[in-house]
Amino acid sequence: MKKYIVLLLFIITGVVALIDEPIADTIDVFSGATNDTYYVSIDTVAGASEDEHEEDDDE
Amino acid sequence: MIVLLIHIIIVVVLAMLFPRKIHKYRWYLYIPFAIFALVLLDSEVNVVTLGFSGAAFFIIVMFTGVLERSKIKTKLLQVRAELAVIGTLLIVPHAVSFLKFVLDDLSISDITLSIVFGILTVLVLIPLFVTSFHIIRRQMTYKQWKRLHQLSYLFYTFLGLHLIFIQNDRMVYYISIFLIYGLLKVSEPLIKSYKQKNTIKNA
Repeated sequence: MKKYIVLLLFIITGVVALIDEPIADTIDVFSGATNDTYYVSIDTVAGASEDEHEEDDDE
Repeated sequence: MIVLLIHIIIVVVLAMLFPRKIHKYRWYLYIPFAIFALVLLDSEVNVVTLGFSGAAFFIIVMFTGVLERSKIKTKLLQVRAELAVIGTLLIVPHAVSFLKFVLDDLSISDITLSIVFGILTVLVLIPLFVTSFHIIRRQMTYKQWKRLHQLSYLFYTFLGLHLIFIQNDRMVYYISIFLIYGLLKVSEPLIKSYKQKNTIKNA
């Protein structure tokens, strides 16, 4: 019973995440680039704004 | 979340296919993973330094404990210690790079609950990691080892709180994963006592 609950948990999580997260962002993060889905949230703590991030991307 | 799930799927499939080989040749896995972790200490942001790789191993180790007896559990149990060791090795670049950042660039007022729980997670992980090696485990009695490894529940709690308090888009996933784990774990003694009562009734 428990294994089915765990399996269901991960299947639902996977399906929702697939709908929610763009595949391109997943591929990006595997190749070492951050994006809107996968970013270092500590940047916001350190005061780095989104604008600065965009400027970096343009360079 | 997909990144974490991809890691989980790959590790579970490999653990199911080669449990004996992973156990037998564990040192041939530990050494390259340790070198890999050392190389990544100074690297840019990637799936390892973001903590996804290590977290995936820990989530598998965590859920292995709550599954009922089955083929999957038996196979995963054979490599549980190995998965925990590799998970720890992969969490080192994440912990070191973020700790460096916290010490260098953040003031005390900037420290978030997520960072606090992250540090606590690593502190609890150290004794668990050291005693996961068979050489060290052999020097302890089973009772001592078992008692020490009760800390793993504290570790899972801190890990869950660390992930949840990041408060990013994945917070709901983390809450579901750790909540379901908690419920399954808490329900264990209840199910046991229910089964015992039923056995007595039937007898």
